[in-house]
Amino acid sequence: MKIFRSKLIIFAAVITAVCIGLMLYSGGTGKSSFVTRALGAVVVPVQEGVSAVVDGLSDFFGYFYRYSSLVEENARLREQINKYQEMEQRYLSAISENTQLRKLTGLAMKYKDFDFEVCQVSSVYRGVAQVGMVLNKGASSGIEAGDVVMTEAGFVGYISTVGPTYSEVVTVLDISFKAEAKVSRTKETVIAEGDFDLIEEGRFRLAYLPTDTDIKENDMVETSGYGGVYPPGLVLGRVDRVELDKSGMTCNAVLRPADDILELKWVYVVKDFEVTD
Amino acid sequence: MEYGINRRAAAKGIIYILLATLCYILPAARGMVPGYGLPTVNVMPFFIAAVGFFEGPYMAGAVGLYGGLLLSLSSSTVEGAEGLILAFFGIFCGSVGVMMMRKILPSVMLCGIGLLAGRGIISATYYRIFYGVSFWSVLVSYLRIIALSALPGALCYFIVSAVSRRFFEEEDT
Repeated sequence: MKIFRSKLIIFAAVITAVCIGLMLYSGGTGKSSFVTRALGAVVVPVQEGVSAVVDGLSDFFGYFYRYSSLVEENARLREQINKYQEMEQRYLSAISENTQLRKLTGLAMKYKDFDFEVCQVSSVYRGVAQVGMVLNKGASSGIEAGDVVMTEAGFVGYISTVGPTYSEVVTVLDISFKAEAKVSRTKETVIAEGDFDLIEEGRFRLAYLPTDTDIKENDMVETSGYGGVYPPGLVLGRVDRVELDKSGMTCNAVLRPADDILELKWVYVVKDFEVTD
Repeated sequence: MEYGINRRAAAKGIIYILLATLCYILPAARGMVPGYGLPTVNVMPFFIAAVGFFEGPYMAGAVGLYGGLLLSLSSSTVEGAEGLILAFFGIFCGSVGVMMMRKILPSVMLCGIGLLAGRGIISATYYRIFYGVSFWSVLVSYLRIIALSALPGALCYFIVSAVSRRFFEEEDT
């Protein structure tokens, strides 16, 4: 049995033992091991810095590269600002009207407390069937696995793994994402999930809809809140199109996420929430 | 004398660790991800293959373990699994580099592409079984990763060969 005394075999056995130990620890506890936590604590801040440098470089070179398109964009934006100023006036009057209506109906605010943590996106990952990101804060800021990640526009994903100073996010586009949702207009309860074929478009879907579904383009889809995993009423996205499933037995509604996930720089992690029904 | 050699080996190890960190950080940095249509580049297998060919199985195994643990920071695979795969891949490349293949670019590319293709087949089977996704669609996505990673992967070969040569020359003098 000379082979078992070979240095290389012993080296391979040690590596195997270390890796299996890490697998058993993280699989058993659902937490990342001290090795990965230590690596994350060192690497994530560096990655954040690199991301900031890349942002700066792409802004700097982008200025020269896209000068003419920037001039056009500037003109278009000026036009839009005028339009938005008009809209703002209408919006402000709508807010005051809404406040009055709330007082009149005595409608309780649905979300009593949202305990937010503002986090920077250190890196984004677009795998074959995964779309995830790494945030610059973790357990030391009170973030836990399962916490909701959102932006002002709506739901982005949830925290899958937490280290002391970083956390990993599974986004709505990831193939493993699944959530109970509600179509705002019809109040229909549906399942929102990531889909392999739609990742390329940056879309996800509402699956298993009946072929005579009433869901239409631009319908807003929000979290249903059933089960208490996610707070209700967070915008998941809007319907892009409704199409027949490959089987021909059901329909799928293709959803645009609430925000452009690959472009996000900052997100909010909901550490705690209270729902009053 | 031996102390000097050990110090050089440690310095080389640190350089490879730093380079592996760059291989992880750069492709996933904000602004480097090309868009939804294209997956993130994965140059780690090419880097580890190059380390294996130039430095042998021990260094490549250690760097592979480190690189795998780094990759598991941003992917949803079980922690340690990626490390195990890449460490064994490093040991394999180091061994074939010593016994069978020459330290040339095509050897490194062949090993890197081989690992990515192998992982593609495993992933395609996994997604077929658990998510009902078409086997070929996943495989095609992996082919895209290979195509995108090949050029920066070749760059890894030149960087590792330069580092290795530099230390070899120092030892020689």
